Amino acid sequence: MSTQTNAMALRRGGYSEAELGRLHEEMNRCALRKKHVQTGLLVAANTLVALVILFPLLYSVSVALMPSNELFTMEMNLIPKHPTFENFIRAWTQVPLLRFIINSFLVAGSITLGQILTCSLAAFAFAFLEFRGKNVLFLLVMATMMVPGEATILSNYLTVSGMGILDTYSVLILPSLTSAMGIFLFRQFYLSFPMSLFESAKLDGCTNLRFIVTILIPLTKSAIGAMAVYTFINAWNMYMWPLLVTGSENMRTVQIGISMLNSVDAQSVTLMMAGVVTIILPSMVIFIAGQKSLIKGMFSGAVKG
Amino acid sequence: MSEIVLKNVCKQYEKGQQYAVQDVSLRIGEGEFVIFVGPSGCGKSTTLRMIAGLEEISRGELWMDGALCNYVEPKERGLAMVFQNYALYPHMNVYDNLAFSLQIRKMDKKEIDRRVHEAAGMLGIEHLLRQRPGSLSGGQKQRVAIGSALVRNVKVFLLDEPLSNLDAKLRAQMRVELAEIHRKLGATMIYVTHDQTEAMTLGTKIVVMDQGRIRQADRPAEIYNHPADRFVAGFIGSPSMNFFKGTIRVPGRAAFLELEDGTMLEVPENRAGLLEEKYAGQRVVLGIRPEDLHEAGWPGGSGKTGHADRSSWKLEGEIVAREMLGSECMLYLESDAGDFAARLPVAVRGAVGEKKQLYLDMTRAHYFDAQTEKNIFYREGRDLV
Repeated sequence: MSTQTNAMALRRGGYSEAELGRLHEEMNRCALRKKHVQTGLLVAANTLVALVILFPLLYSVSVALMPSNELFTMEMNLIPKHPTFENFIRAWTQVPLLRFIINSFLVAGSITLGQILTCSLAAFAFAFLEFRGKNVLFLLVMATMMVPGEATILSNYLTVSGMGILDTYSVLILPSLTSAMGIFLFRQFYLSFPMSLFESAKLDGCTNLRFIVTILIPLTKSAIGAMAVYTFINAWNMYMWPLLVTGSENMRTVQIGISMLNSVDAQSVTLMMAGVVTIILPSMVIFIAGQKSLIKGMFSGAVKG
Repeated sequence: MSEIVLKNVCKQYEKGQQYAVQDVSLRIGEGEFVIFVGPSGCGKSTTLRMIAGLEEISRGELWMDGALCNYVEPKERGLAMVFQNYALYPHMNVYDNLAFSLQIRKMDKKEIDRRVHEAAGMLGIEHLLRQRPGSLSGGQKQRVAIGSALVRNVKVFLLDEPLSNLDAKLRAQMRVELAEIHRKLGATMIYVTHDQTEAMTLGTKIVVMDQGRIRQADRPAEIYNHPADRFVAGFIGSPSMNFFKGTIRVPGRAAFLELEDGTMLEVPENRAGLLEEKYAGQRVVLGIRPEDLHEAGWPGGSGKTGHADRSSWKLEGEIVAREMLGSECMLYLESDAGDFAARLPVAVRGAVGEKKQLYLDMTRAHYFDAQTEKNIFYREGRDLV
């Protein structure tokens, strides 16, 4: 027995069982401390960078809460001394901000729905079906992305005025109902979709439309979510086109409505900031809500993996 | 009655390009278990997909039950397919995956339920019906995939490398189950694989393909014992057949095969006639399987049979590797006549680096024309159209 313990002590470099335990504990504590310090440093660095990036946004919130006399001083005024909601109330009463927001929601929502529908159907054809001239057609669609919007805006204006739909919702929605970018995005996503699922469905007797509705859409929720967020925010931020084709106050979207705050009486930066903060809220909410589906992977178990 | 006939079927993906499948003609009778086997890119999967209707046939005819089916929609061909990557719908549970094809066909709910449970029972996956494919193991997923083909109650099943994503043990088990399912259903099965063990054990007919063409289509034993050409001989069998280049010499009454190192092997009398007559002085390729090489002292290894002197059937080589397989032992040898392998009893003597003399059982050897690579003694297939 004693020779056995001796042998064990020798093997462990002459330390006893208790000493060894203490040493291990010490080493563990040391490593844990190091890990905590590393995590702390990372969090600090991230916070710093986030503050720098978010500064314009945070500052606009802060300005929106300032009484206007606080802004126009020589002092460095980052945080309002006497925070007030006065600016928000004035922004909401001075122009029909709610009307603008409803307009924008209507327009952006319709555009998003329309684009998802048209782009996903077109992309389905490009990704899953075989037909003559498929590649040429796809190249043509892609080529339209290279034409800048400014180049076509006048001819588009002439077209819609010829149709007699100026200053209506249709004129805001119709030209954006499909987009080459959306078709491209959906197609890329569908190309990574396992082809055997489509073939299997076809052998099961599934029609193309039924395949899209019962299999493709449920499995590409994340792509649809990403596309929806992207399209909605783009549509929400439209400026040039709505400015050109709408005239009455009733048809104005938020981005144009905000500039109206500028010209009503005197220039008031705090008032404008209150308006800006109000109208970026919906896009932020949309983004936060859509973020989940951006990240969520729906593919576990579709194929071996 | 569910007979499938392919007549000179060709597949060309783009005009001017090489044919992926060329002039494939084959008759598949009812209840047959046909295996398409060949190296990757040989056109076996493409042929299967043309039968399924997933690929258009560029040229040739596909007949099913006496009807020309070239342009019939896949869903109307009355066949079910199992894919290599299972092709299960990940957002549906196992029950809905199995029931999907029946729901599309607007079948009665009770009948769907009966069929799903019947198929699940047959495959032992009844306890998984409420789970999603994501939570299943590879073997279970493959069972579900087979199940969703079974519920259709079709006469023809197409299986595209269904077992190649499974591990070796599971594959052996599924192989047995597939054979069992085939026996129970009596349906026609067309199966694509690159695994020759699957081909040999499952098939009632093996179709060996290479470069888009059928090399040989026959029963497994025929393919193994009477390969049509050098490609089939080398592809079927593991380790593959040994090949030696040689020349037929007829110095006297007996015919000999002279190997490249000068070894003279006397040709047994049942082979001598044709070789003497047509190939005297010409180059041929001798093919002999590793299990047809023996140590001195194998039964019948000495003395004479007919006029052939068996003591001349020997070849010496240097052992370069030795593999212990448990029940037997593989020796890999190098010689001036060429490299070769031999499957011998475990007790065989000889270490790596040593010279070893082995006897060739020339009664079981194959002779291939050196130019055409055809088996000189092969008679054209009976089963081809």
